[in-house]
Amino acid sequence: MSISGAIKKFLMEQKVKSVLKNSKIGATTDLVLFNIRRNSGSLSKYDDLRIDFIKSSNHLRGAVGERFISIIANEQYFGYIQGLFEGEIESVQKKVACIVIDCSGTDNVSGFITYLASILANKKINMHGFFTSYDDITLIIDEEKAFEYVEYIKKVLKA
Amino acid sequence: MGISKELEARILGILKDCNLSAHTDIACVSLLKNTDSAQKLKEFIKNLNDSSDAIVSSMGKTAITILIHEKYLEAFENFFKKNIQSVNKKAGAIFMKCPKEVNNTPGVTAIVSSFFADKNVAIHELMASYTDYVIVVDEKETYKMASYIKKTLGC
Repeated sequence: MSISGAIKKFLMEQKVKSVLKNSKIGATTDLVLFNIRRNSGSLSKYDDLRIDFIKSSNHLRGAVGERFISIIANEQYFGYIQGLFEGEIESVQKKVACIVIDCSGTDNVSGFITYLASILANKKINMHGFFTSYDDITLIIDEEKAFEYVEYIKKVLKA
Repeated sequence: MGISKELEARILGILKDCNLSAHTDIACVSLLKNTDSAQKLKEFIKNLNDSSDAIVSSMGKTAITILIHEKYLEAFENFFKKNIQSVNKKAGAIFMKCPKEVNNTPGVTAIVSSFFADKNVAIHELMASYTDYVIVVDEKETYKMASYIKKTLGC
């Protein structure tokens, strides 16, 4: 890397760290991740599920992409969601955790996601999902690595 | 970035087979996550001429973020009013449909997002759903970035 490249990287990291210092980070475990094929039927069911779960204050997060819908819910709803989307499920991942980072002001910071994702990659932790929504970032990883990652990222930010 | 050269080469090899497309004239809107928003969102999408015009969405802790075609923005704002947290007009989105191997490979998100960091382009939203990525950036950066990624990956 050139000197100017190294300086650019350093300045970017400092900016990212200063934003992250004011963030809150936490993990929720005992979750299950469903990847469902997107079609008009599954979209409609997802809309209904979203309403029901918000109404009952249950944990539900998700992302609707071009081809798939990812749903993360408490493990106790595994059977219910599996039944609801029968025939449309592409993959299921049990024992996952959501790492949630609450932070504002990241919108105009380049390198922010790279910084966070690199911390995981350096630890060889695979992400099953990643999405941002307004002021929070949700990362989905294996449950067993969740608290280790939270502690590690806190340590990196303090350094 | 700290990812080993070996892993980076592996990821770039996987991403070479991705299908990349870019869209502009998009608005990125965040709604408060509550029952009213969720119910209205279902109604709004149902009334669109083409449901694929509500392209993608994500739901986090406190917000539901949705990408819609700009032509619907005025109607969207009138329909949701107080439930709107933020509106990002003049946005663009890059869509990457990747091979299944991305699911078992650590570092893919780091590499995908690093393309944008390399060019000092801020990512407004990133949604990874199974094998697919959607990256939201300023409209003016969209095609430049799509072309840069295509060239870098050779896809």
